[in-house]
Amino acid sequence: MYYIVAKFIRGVSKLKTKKIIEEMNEYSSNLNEQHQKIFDEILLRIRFSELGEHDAEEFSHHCLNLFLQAENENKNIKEILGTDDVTAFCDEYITEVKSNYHFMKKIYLKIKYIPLMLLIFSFWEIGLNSIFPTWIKEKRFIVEVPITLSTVVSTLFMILMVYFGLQYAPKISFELNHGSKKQDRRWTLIFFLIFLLTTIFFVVSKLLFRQVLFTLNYLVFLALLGAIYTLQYIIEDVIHRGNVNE
Amino acid sequence: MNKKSQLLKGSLEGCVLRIIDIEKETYGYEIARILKENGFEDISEGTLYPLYTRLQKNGFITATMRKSDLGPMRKYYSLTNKGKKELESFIDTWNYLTKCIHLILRGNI
Repeated sequence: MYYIVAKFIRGVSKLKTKKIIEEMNEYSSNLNEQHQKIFDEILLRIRFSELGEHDAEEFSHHCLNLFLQAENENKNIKEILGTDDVTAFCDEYITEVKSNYHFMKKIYLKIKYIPLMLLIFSFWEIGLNSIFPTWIKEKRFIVEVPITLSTVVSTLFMILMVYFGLQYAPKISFELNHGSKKQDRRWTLIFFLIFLLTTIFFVVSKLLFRQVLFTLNYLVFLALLGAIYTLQYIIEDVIHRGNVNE
Repeated sequence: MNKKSQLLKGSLEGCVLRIIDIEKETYGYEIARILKENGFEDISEGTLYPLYTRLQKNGFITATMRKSDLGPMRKYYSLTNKGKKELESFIDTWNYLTKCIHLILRGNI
């Protein structure tokens, strides 16, 4: 589940990164069962780390090449990776790469998914609550939508939930921590409680915080998010082009 | 990490540049194999890969993506002119350091 959410939220903004991911999907299935398990663990740990998307996917792709080469030469993967401790192996790479990041990049990586999350949650909050019901009922497309306190609070709450979810997913993942069934049941219960509390929060916020704060032109809002996203795409592409010739 | 590993790690960048210089164009697995066969047994890919990225960013090596014989694309590294100068500078510094250290260790002070 975390894997799907992470992949969806992080998205695949660059064609080259997409190509790398496609290759990994294609060739990782050729690995033997034991190697595939280790490779999947590396993939999850690297993807859930605080690394840039391209750094994460490139290293995973490099690891896949190492695994394929090891199988081809009948070599032990421990010999190839230099260790049999996958966590230490990934942490070494993550620490090394992160230590070379400029602090502006660290900040950017923390906020880069906010435009995408705003797009998704605003569609949920504004599109499904205001625009589509009016369109269906009154056959009228409204562009100026009232923004209530509830909408603002809910959107901020959801962004924080996703942020903390992605932050803590590897720490609580049953798969990554090789936890016991008892631990897994405990986390299932915790998640159920979080789900319940979130639902209660949304219902209460919809009932209590109905005051309209301002009106928003949804098309202008979408255009602004689109412009930010395009700018992000261009910046990341320029940075990537500087690194690899293709 | 033991003392030997720490000393080797400090000279890793120069060794990687020299391997790429000898091989003309090579890839991560080959570099790691040569390093392991020549005293860097404990070196991990988690250390090596960021090093390649750093060398690329500093303009010492370039990377080209090409299809490998095993199927997926592979990054091939080659040395740039800036990298050649950096390697020469590393060799000079290394020679000077080893000469000084030898003198001290032999007691010729």
